[in-house]
Amino acid sequence: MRASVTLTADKVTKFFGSRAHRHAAVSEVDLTVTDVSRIGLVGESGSGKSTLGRMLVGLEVPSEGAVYLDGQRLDVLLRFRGQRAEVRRTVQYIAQDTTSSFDPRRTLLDSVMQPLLHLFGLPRTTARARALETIESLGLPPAMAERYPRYVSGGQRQRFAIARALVVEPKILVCDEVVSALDVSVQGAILNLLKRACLERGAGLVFVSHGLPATGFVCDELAVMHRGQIVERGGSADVLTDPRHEYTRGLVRAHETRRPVGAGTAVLP
Amino acid sequence: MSASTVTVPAVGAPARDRTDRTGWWKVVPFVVIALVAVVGPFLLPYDPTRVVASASVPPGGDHWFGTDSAGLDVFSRVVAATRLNLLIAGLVTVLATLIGALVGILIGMNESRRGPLGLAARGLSRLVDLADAVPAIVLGLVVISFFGATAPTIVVCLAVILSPIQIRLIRTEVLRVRAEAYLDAARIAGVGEARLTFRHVMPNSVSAAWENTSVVFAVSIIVTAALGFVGVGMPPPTPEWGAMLSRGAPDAVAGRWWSATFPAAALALAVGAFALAASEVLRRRRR
Repeated sequence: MRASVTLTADKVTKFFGSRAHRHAAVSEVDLTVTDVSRIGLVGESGSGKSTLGRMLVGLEVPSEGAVYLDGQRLDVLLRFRGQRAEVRRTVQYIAQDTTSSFDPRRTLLDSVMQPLLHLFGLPRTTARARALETIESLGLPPAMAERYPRYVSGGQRQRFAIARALVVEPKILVCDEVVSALDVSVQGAILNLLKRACLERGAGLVFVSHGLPATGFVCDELAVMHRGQIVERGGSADVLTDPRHEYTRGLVRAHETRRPVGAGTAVLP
Repeated sequence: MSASTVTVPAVGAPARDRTDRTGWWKVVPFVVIALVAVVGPFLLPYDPTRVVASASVPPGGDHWFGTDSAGLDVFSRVVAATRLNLLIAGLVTVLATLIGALVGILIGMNESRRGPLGLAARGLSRLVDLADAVPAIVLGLVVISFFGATAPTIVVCLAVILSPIQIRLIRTEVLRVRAEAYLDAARIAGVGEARLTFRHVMPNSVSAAWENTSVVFAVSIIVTAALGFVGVGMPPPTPEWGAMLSRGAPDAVAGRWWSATFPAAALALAVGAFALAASEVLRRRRR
């Protein structure tokens, strides 16, 4: 299948902290995502995968290197209102924290309608109808959309977050640890939903997670991050069954040998 | 039954039990005082700015609260002063909270930025600290002596003097809200920074300042009275509780207690009544 949209990270580095005590969260990473690829970014906490995900959508600006959308610098595009809307229509993002990802003073429907109002300039009635249609397509009762975020469960909130991202029909969806805060049964449902939604709507996916099996299920490709760098990448099946890098082997082993505390745990290099 | 056909009762805004009548009595004293402020000046037995009897008549049938050392009717003056004192306090509270919201958001949203905007925000923050370090009454004395004691001058001066506490409260809340993921979600949804600030950051940052309005209101009544007491408040014979206290203090020392006691009691009652009413209104809002 031919890709129509390409999002490229070109040797991106992101430093945090003061100049004297700066720390590279991401270091010289190259990554290309298209609307037909489903890439998983895996690694332990602090490996830089979330920062890379945020740089891909322009929520963080790289300290060095740049992110390009179809050959144009993302940070430059985001400076201009018209082009910014185009970028947001093309690339959407879902955050990890289901609790704080919705304004507590607005109903869930208001939040799902928001991209339609601001990115497409739709009238409220049209935006409302389209938002409810998307919400219903994700298996959520439309009446629930009139609720405030704190009156629904974490899993339901995450479905609404997915609805908010999918309502604009993006070409690329970046998901940052979207199932980490959810219990295992809900995780499965959300993963199925995401995979199906991306396949049906023809959207590329960047799935940031520390859960190897979940990522392997949703994505065709895996990129393993360690200390701010991609240390291994390849097809999901290959990486999971035949990991090359020592760190990846440790990560796979850690998932295979998950036991109660004290029963012996795998040590990552 | 498919999930899409399940009907779920819509849950709207935070539920407020409108049948809960307990606690409303706490609002009554302030409503009575506000009513006095509105209709009181039309029902006065005497002109509060004219000499109506001999000096220092004790409380009795003709003059319920007596007369002061100049022969002005204390009851008429206490009632007439309610409007001015509440008006000044109300305007000061609104203005101080508005200044607090604007400056607090400006500082909170920009202080960690690099460049001139961040520098300006940090400079403004230090200025607020400096203003907060000087006692309100001292600042008020200087500014009002300079610009003259009129109601608008007192309102603007007190609003500026009392705004640092609102600025700090809002700034602290902005710093918390700024890290919330729903701001990123709004940015991704195409919301611009100005709209984001006023539609998402501001409504979620003003609750602490809103709760603090009862303190600002009380302090502004007290500082207005204190300015009147030290002689830079509203010019005589304008009825104002602080000025009345100031004029009545020497009488009280001489045993003529009434000309200072009644305005002092009115001041204490107004502050207490507003605090009581605010605590009830805010309790209902928090639920």
